[in-house]
Amino acid sequence: MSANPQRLALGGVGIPRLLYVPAALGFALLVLPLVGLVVRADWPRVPAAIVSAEALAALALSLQTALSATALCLIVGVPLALVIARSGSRLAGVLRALTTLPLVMPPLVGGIALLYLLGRNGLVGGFLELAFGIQLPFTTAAVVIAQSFVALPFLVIAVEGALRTAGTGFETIAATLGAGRWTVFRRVTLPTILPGLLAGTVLAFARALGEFGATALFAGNAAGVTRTMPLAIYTAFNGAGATQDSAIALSLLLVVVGIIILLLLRSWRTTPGL
Amino acid sequence: MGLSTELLVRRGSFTLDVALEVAAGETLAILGPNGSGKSTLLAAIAGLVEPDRGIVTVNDRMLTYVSGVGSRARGVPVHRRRISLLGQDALLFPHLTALENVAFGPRARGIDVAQASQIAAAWIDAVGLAGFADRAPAALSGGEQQRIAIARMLATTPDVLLFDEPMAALDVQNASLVRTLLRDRLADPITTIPGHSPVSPPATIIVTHDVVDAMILADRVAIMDNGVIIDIGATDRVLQQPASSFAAALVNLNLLNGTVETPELVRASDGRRFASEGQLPPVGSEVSIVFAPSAVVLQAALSERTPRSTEPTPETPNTWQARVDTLEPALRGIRVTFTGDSVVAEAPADEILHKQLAHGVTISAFVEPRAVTIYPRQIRHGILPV
Repeated sequence: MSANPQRLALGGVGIPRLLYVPAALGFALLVLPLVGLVVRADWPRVPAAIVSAEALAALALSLQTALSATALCLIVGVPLALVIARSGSRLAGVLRALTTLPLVMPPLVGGIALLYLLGRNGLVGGFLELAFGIQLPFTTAAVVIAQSFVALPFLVIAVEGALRTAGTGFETIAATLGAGRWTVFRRVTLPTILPGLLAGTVLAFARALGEFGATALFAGNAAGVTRTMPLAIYTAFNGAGATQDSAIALSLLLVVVGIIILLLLRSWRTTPGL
Repeated sequence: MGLSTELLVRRGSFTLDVALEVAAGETLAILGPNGSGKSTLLAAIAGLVEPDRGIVTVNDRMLTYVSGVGSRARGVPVHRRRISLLGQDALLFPHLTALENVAFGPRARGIDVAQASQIAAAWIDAVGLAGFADRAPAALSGGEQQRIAIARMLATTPDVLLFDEPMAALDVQNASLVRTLLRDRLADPITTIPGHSPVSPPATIIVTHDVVDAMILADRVAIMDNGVIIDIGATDRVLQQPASSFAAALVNLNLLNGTVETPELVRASDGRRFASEGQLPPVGSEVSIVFAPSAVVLQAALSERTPRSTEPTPETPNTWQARVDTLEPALRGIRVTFTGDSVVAEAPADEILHKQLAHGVTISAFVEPRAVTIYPRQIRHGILPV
């Protein structure tokens, strides 16, 4: 709704021609590897590789864990984003910095950190085993936790941004109209931030689906239990159990999933009124 | 019945210190310069800002009670206060249609969807926007949005209506439409909703910078400055006998403070003397001296045309000399300001031209006694001891 400065620019003055060269290089860097993947694929054998039992198990596990991780992110991430957005600027700054730390941290480091927190000799893991007999590492639950660890910042950042943009004006008006805090949250806050929430959810899901490093260290690589798509691709590529062809086929499958996610995101973002 | 409040709010070096009452069915307009604390006052009444000390009572319900520094505040939460607020922006919920927006309040108070929609439709009708019920807020003009917002606040039949410059963001035509709507609705409040016992008509406060709003909508007017109410009373009295230069400027009047010197003469604080046709207060009284800029008669430039012998002395009542500073366009003609003088004059353009008035020219000015109003000065302070 803000004024569009391009309306005044009447077409603009264009960019220096020399800049087209690095721009093209950058574009090539992003797109050519995908082309390489498509060209290298042994297409007649791709269908068989994709519907192999191993591939289907990995895909099912990936979808299951990524969806679980996304749900977990929503349950804890939206409240966290609310707390950050409604905190004073100093506290919000500290919380935001700590929340986004996993974004700038190598996932492998995250995996090690999770292992030392929730592993058998870890800070919380020892207690969990003693008190409840629960062992988290190298289980499917560990995959979900590792994925949530790397995906949560994406959701929190998107939702917090949406909350800040929306401001508190609508919520205040809703309260003066007689709506209690829960009603305001349900009928005003959530619908107002819906576009940001959807974008954050999709990004978190995509990040969880592609998660490799933290999963490998914290959850391991057990077929059917913790071997998600990225781990299956890595395993196939290294020649244990399958061929490089199936690694390529699985990679193509993940690319397709990624493209579908992008298209969904685009259509949500461009829906008028959202 | 109605709203009764005493509030002390400290924010840094600013202190709001106000006590006022608004009866059920009454409308009070608050006028004041920017930063005078008008919006803070509304926020404190609505429960959005916690006062350092104060009481808010509405229809005998104690909504806010803070007895002093360090004491626990006791307050009814915003959503149970039955106080509705509307600012410059309509803030219609963007994800709901106009009808759903208006139905929001009744729904939040537990009325079922069908009945809430019925109530909402009636209110949308009442603000003259029947046929717009299914529109999204983005598909409404600014004025239409503001009218739906008014329907939305009225649909909850609140005990108190608070308006914070509701016409400020609208163009002249839409502002006029909204003003007329408010006038009609405030004069004829609907106090019954289906299935509920009748409620008393709302006490209304409207913060505005437009004197027209005060004249058309308000029963009483308060002038706020620097956190305190410096004048409050019937609209006619406050606007025709302004107690502050701010209020005087609003109604385009010159205001000087002075003291009654003799039974016929008043001496302004800058030494000018004035006579009036009306009865003066007792000698020694503090008074306000008021006259319209158009009542100031400007004589021809002294240096050019007037022989020295007839130059009026400063002792002559209602007459003085001044040096022209600026000439500005005014509603009818040209507005003349003078160097080092708060008094302004207005005259038709041809007269200014004819008398060759320009920056730096010294002139003689005169006001007829019958154009001067003199009345005892209103001196008011904050009510709570600080």
